[in-house]
Amino acid sequence: MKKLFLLSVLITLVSFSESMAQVTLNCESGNRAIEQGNCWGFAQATYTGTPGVPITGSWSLQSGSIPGNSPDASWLKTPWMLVSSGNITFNARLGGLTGTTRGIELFYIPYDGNNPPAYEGTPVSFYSYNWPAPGIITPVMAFVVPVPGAIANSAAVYKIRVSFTGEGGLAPIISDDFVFPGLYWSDPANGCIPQAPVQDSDGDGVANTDDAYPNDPNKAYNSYFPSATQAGTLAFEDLWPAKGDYDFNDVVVDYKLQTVTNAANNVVEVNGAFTLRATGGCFNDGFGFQIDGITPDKICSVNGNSISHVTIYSIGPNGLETGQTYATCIVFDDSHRVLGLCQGNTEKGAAFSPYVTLNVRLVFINNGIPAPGGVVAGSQLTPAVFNFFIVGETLTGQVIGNVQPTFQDRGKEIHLAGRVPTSRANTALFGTRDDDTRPGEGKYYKTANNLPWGVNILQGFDYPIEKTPVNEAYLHFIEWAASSGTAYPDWYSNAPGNRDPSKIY
Amino acid sequence: MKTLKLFFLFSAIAMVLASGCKKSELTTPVSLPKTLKELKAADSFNWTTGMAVELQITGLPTLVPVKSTLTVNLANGTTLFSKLHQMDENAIINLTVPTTEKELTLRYGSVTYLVAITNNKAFFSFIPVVTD
Repeated sequence: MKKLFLLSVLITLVSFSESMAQVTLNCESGNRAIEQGNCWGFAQATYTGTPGVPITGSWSLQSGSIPGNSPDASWLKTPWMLVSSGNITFNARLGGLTGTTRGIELFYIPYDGNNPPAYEGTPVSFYSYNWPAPGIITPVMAFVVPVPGAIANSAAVYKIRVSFTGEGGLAPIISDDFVFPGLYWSDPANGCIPQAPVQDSDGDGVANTDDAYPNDPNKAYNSYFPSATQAGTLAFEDLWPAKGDYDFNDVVVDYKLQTVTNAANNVVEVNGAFTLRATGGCFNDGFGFQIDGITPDKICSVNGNSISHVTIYSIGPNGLETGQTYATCIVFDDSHRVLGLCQGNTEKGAAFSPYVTLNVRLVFINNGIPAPGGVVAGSQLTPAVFNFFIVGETLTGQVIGNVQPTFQDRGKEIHLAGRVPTSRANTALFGTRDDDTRPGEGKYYKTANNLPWGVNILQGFDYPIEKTPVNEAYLHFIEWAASSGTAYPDWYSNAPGNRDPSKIY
Repeated sequence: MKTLKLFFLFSAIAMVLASGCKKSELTTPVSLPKTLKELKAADSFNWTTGMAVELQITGLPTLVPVKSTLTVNLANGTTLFSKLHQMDENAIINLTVPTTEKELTLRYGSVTYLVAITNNKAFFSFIPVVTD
């Protein structure tokens, strides 16, 4: 029970692998923004690098004008610290000729949890010094200020404020080489509030509050495409290389990808939810995706897809298609077997076939063990590398009665516009019929007028009814395409004037 | 003779005015194609409602190593991407977002930032802007 208790409250400081016994500021960054990002505070105090002015190095701190002797006007403030006993040290001098009085005053500031966002309590003064004779440029003085007993070695956190005070004139106070004994205890990742212990139950370095898998050390984060809450739609014409009727309902698949990564930001698995909604084409089309640039040996296994035991696809031991340069997953091998027959869910009034969702999982790292080809960094698996395609059919050449039989043709890949084929595509079909693919020019799966055989709508798509060209159902589709997407970017939406609902399924 | 001189004068003026016309003032508006058959799209158009966005992150030199979760969301808060990120490191994150999106929200630790998308790029720096 005790062991369980200890395990369950495993507390680590996940953000900070080391702390310093001193908190120092020497101004040599020359950029207060960097210090401010590290939770130092400045008011009317800038860095000066004017030759002859800095006390040491290339930069020093210079106070601004000091109105009315207020200690609140010009100051330097440390990050939150666990202050230890010892001396606060720094160097300072006056930097001008005019002024009535000039001084330095030190404060400690307690933490006040009821005072967001800074959480600072009332400053308490514990040291002050006044220059005896302002009006001259004084030599550098070395300040040595004992840490007050009230805060030394306390378990509570404090800030130290060094205020620059005075009245009259323009003489600034130049200061440098600040050393504050104690430990840096601010958290720049959390608005510079004090560090707080975080729970990390699986010890992977990701706090439970951020960890999508707080009890699994092999998984940490979920990323999504198109997004966590929105599925996109892929809509294809399947008569390539011939043009079809542009109703874009021959194969309609909704998709949502979830990429799971670990604390090292390597891909653990990809979960794809693919929903087949329509089979307006009369071919038994296949559907899949290639992961451009990722070799098949980077994937341990694939499951959840729908491949018949009698199939034209050759599937390897890890569930990917064989003979491929890049990892290729066949999601289903026969649209009609999965959803229904020709013109499935594309004619109003006809029988409806319930949508079919396939949840496909590609495992890259299995229980902490990568595939033989090694890990894939999360930065490599961007949405752009998912290259979706369908596989069509070819006429046998026979005529039986009124029917021209067809057969599934693995080489007849039909990709979205501009996407490269897989290794199993029949490239001899390029440039035939209406296709104007020119690999040497980087042109793929477009007609001579650059029309596509597939569209990808990230926001989801209500497809046209059978044999209705998409521009008759979506009234601004042509303007969108003619403008390269700048006009009517929401042409697919149900905004007034966008649609002819009688032509949408 | 006087009439002839006036004729030549008016002709010269007319010629000067006509030569000053720019081509664009004389062309007729281009009409949109009515059918897909007539449509010719640009070579670079790829028929998707998404756009590639490169998010460039500039790190902040820190006094001690600082690691926390960086999350990128659409402006409406929908999650796109998460990773463990060390605050002093630069990073480039490649996303695909709807073309209608104008900004992203970033969350690092407990702080949220709004980042504009301009020409398919978004920039975020952990180095703050000093205000005084």
